[in-house]
Amino acid sequence: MRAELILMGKRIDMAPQRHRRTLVLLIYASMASIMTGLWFLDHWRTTGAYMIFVTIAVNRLLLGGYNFGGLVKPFNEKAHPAPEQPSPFLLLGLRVYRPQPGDSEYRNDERELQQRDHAHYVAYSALVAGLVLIWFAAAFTRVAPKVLAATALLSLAPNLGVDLVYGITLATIVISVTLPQSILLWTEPDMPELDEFES
Amino acid sequence: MIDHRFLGIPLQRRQTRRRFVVCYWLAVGIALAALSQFRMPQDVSHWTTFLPLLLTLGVASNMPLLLGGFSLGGAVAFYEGSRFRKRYADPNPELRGFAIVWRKGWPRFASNPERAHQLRRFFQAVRPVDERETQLRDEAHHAAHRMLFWIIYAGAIAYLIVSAISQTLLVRFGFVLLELLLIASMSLPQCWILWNSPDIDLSDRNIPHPEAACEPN
Repeated sequence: MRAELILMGKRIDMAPQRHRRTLVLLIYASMASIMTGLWFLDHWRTTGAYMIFVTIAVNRLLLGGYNFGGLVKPFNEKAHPAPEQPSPFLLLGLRVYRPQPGDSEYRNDERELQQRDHAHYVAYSALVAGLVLIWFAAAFTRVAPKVLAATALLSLAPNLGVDLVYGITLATIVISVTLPQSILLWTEPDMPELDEFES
Repeated sequence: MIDHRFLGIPLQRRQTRRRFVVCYWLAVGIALAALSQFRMPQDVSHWTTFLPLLLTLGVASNMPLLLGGFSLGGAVAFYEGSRFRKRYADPNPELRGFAIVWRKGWPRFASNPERAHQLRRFFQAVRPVDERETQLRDEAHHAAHRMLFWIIYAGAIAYLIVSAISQTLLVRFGFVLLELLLIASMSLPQCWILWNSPDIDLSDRNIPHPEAACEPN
């Protein structure tokens, strides 16, 4: 796990557990806000797919794990695929050339592999719970018209059942590819300062 | 972690366990194929009777009765020290765990030597997992998470293809896919463990045969 996050050119110290927990809370609060906003926009009809792109971006830039980049090393222990040929001079001149990462950037040691596996064990329950919720929501879509008609809510939300299934499915997908990394960031204790480490 | 004998099937050998897993998935496949032949209930009253049946099939068939893992019983155990005690602890150590399931049937069960022997073996299997087993369990969940991701991915593509072909098929297929996902999510880690664990050496367990246990001293 990296102890530093470079965001918009700024170096953010992620060694203290407090910082990492704040980041996790901010990420989930932002994603919940985005998802709520998209529901008001078009009930996720078109914008639902955007949540997947948001999740990929979050993994790529902040969390790591399922994408190369971010704080957690890639779970599959593979480096980001980079072209073997040298980049054009223009790209070098613009300083967007990305050198091949070193082994320590994507290879997990034994302790990190154990932590990765345990994080997946903990996150797995959430995934199963999400699938069970989808199941119940799918059942609700059958019952919803009658229930809503009885409560006079049908006119306000005619597709509530379908929206519910779609919303829970989206949330389950988002959680399934972000929760293991979040658990790792949340539970990892404070990392030692460089001075302490050297001494 | 793995009960060495389950429902009369010795599970020490990896080959037997793999057959067990293959049979399990064949049974799941046949059950799902049979379910897909049902007409989707359009009426709520039919649905409400259909749903519990499927839930029972999906949940009850693979956890306590066959594979174990997330619940007491079955071939595989998941819970380590504190979590195990929290779930299955009982004031009477002899009745630990087992009592939760069949508390009322205990005296009748224990009076039979053969059953009492089975019960002892059951207690040996139902125990907190050790460090090595915990690692194996975690690794199994990581692998299962990855497999589940690919199943969802493949399912979503298949769902899109079917939706382009027929709406009637889509309703039926979507329902079966959801059922498959539920069953897979609750059984993949156990299957991974059963499939990949090496042969179990029982030489250090020293489990007496029930007839030997009943012989007078």
